[in-house]
Amino acid sequence: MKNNQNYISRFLQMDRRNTLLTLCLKTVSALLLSAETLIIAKLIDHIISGIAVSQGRAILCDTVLLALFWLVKRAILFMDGIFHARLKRTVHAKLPSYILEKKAALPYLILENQENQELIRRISSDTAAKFCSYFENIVSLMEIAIQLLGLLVLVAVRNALFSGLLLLVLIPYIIYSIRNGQSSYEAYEASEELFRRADYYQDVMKDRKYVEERTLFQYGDFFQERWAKKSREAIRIETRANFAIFSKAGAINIFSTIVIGVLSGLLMLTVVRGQSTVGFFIAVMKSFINFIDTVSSRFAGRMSTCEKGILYLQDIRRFEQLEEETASIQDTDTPDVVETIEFCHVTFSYPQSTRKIFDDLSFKLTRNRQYALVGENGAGKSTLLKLIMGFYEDYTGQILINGREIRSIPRETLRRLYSFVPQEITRYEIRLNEYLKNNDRTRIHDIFTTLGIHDISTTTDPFPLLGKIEDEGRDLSGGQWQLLAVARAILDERAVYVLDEPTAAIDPIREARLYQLFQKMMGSRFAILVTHRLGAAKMADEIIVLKDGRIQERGSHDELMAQNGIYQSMYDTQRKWYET
Amino acid sequence: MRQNIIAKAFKELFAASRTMFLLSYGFTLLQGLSRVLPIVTLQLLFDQIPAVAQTGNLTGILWFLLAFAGARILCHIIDFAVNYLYETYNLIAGYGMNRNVNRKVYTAKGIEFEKTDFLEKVNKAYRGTKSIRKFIDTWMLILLLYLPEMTVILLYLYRAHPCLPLVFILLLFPSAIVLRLQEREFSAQEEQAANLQRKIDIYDRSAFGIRSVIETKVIGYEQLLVGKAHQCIEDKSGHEYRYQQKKNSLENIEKAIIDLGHIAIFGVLVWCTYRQIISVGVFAALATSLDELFEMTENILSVIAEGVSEELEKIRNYFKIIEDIDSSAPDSDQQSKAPELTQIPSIDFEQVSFRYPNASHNALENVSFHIRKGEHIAIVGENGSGKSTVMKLLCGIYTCHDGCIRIGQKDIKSCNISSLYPKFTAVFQNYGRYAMTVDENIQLAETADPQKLAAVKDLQGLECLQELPGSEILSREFGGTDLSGGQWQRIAIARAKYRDGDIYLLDEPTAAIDPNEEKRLYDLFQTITDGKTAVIVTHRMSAARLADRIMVFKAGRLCGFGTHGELQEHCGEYRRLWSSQADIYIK
Repeated sequence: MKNNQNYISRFLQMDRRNTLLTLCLKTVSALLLSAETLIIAKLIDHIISGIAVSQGRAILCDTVLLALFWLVKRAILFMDGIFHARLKRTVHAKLPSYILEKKAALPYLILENQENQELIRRISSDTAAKFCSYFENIVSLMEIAIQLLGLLVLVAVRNALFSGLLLLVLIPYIIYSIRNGQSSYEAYEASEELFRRADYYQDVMKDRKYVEERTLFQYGDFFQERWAKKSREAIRIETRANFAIFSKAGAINIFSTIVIGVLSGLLMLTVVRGQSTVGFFIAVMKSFINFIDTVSSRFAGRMSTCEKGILYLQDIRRFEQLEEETASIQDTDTPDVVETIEFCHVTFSYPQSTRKIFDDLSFKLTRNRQYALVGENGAGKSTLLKLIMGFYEDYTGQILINGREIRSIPRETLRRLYSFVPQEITRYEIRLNEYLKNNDRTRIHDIFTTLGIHDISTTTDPFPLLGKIEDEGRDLSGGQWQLLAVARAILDERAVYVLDEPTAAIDPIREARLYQLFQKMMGSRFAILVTHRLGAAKMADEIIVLKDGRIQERGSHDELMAQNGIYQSMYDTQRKWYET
Repeated sequence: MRQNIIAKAFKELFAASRTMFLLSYGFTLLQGLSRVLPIVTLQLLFDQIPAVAQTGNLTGILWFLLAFAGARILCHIIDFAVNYLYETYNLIAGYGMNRNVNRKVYTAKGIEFEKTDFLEKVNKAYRGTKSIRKFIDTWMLILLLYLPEMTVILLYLYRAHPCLPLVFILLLFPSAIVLRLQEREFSAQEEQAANLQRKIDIYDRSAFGIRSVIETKVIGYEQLLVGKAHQCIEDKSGHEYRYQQKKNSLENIEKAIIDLGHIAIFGVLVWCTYRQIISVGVFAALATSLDELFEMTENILSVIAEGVSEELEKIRNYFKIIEDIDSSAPDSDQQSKAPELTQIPSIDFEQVSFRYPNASHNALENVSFHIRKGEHIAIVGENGSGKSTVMKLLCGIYTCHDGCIRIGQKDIKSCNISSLYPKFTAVFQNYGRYAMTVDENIQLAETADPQKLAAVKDLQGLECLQELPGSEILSREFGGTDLSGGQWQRIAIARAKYRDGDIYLLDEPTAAIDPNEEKRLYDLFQTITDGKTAVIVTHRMSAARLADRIMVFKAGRLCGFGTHGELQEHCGEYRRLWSSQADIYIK
């Protein structure tokens, strides 16, 4: 939609009318400077030329004209303010939504990438505000250019050559200002980095989460020394950068005085030659001095903002170019019952990695059985789940559901086959019924009671807001969220249960109780449970041991114990602890 | 009392960096006195122009031009000096004041951090360092810049013509009216916009954050969350639009009033020039400098109107907070007189009760026990039974209000802290993962001893630490690498071992670890506590069995203390905890 190179064209695309209106009005108000100068010139000339009565009226007319002029200018700026505010409203409404939509379309593989995550973080904060400020920056620079041009034209009308000379002097001034703006952006990067480090040390000294170690290990003074060292170094660098930047700014100011001097000399020549009047001289000097003083003080800042704006736009374009998930295949033949899940010679590794997570993996799971998937950390259990749920598509071999390759099943349909309880529970701060995707109060009450969380939903407030996103919302504990996620899975009644370490956040004392609950709730559904709690694995119909990218052992608890293999030794390690 | 506060603030700021303070404000005074020069020289220049127009003689006027340019350049140089000196001074003063607040915070007692308002106080104290600077700076500016500037300009005007100072009054009126109108803090609206943004961020993160996106897509929350976010985005933009409109109207009224003021003054100046009361040069110079003069009066008036009282209030708070935080640190007088701790034969809790601030009931109720030197004790109990509270009381991070804790035979309250803490070492549940190198993470504030470090890394179970990159900062945020949970756990253990106190306090992690890893960690715990007194908090009943004796806590009370066999016989709670874990394996 918006693959454009610069801010102005993007703004035109988002809201053509208001953008054009703002630009026009700003242009007009910039041109007014020259008009104002001419009026003041005439006024002064009239004052000087005579104190005769008739001239008095002329002076009065000029003054009134000037007053009206100022009021007209004020009116123009007022209107511009209105259009500008409308423009901002459009941008603030459209831009964040646009970015969100794009995020929604990104595949998991892209999101997983560290660099992409940082890119997304950079462009996600204050997008609309930044966009508007960079746009306003460009418009200001445009105004400055028009005003300058207007003044130069005024001089050119009297003496083109002198106008040219003036331009010649201005050009190095402008270039020097631009360069100063660019270098100031870089100069502070080093000191900013050091201040960030120092801030980290300060956090360690004051943050609540370190208080026990900080108190017992008595490292306050130690970190204070580090903070002090980093701070002093940062101050050293920043002061040096300040010196460089301020002295350059000072040099620019001095340069501006030289420019004013040159202008002054040239104008005086025109006065002497009769090409312009005293009033003209004074008026142009006045306008020019005011113009240059306002501009010089902010020019460097504006250029540095320009620089930032360009980099920001590059980031935005990089984000827009991220590959989206390919459009889902339209298909009418969607499965609702999963009879089999089968892996056929599946080999998979992460992008940019040669290590094979799965190597020629083949197995078949059938309906109405409960499977426990066990293996050491890093054996690939969670990755297996992600493959089954269609989050990685780049593997060799086949993954079949009811005999069909999952890559040929529409993504949304595929994912709706699973009732998923993840390892890290996300706290979706929405209403209970939205969270459970269910409005059936009786069923909810029954399941909640079995799980022990019936106090979450009361008769007076059956579907409370979860989380403190609003004041009226309810805060839940980690354990309650976990049980909610389990309730959600049960209520959803999808084809397959997928549970990934569902008791990770629960302490071992409660964990045992929970597993017994699972057994009861799941009945005889098709379920895949990833766990390393072998006491829980024991309850499954079949245990699958994953190691080195392959299935090493497979069978019921009794069968595997008889095999004296990996499972048996893992189980015995755990059991030994409880032997009397 | 008010004098006292301002004087205190002044002294604090001056003490931060005397030379910079004097230089910076000295130049500010110079700035104030010199600002009139460009106006005067410009006027003199303009006065020459009509003559030049007639005679065509440029040489004389060149001197005036040079004078004008010279005056401007002088002002630029002084401006540069003031900017540079002020920024430098600001950084140094900030450093000094922050350093003070840092020290006060990290020497505060551990229990203070349990009080919610303490954290707020700490933040206010840090913000106070800025408030003081702003406040003093504002007043220095008034005294050294604005007042001299105004005085000199008034003198100039008076010299030009005695009635001109009246022009100044015309300057004041619009500015004063404008200030009356000036927006009170539109902070309520800012808060609302921030609130909406917070909601948008929550929806965004829970929908597409890397840790949630899989759940979102499988369950199918995308549409719902995106819809809610859209709604908030629209609300926010509408909100900001209304705010912007209000702001615009106000600004436009202000500017219109100033425009009227402009017109009035211009009119007066024109009339004066027409009546030859002032020269064309004076008229032109003043007309040119009108904006600058307006800004100056506005600055002076706004500073006065802004509420001396507001800033004063913030500063009063700052000192109150500093003193508050100060008083929460252990009494240094008492500390220096307290007896040193030489050895730890035993630990005693005598009827200790403890309650967290703002809690409705005691976290520990009448707890008594005796631990012998060299014993390994395990503490078990459900979440919230008081296990970690015991640990913190043991080593003196918290102090109990009822009962007595003795180390050796000495009451912990009367001990010298700097000899008490070193007796302990700990692996806390939320051990720190510091953005420093591996070795620095292990040594922390202890004296660096390469031999000792090597010995620790040689211990069985900690060898993997030898392979870690030695010079990298362990934090991705600062350009280094992050370690896995297991590696960090081992660093925390190495940290405790390196410190090697007489008493080891170990708080077991509850994160999901596979059984082999669990066994390895427990073996490691055994290794490092060999020959020491150790107290370990654990959820794993099987691990508790490895201890010499086990303490069972329930709802803040010690309901069992003995060996595994004794507890199996006599403690119902212990039996319950035991079977809830063992039954799965034993049945």
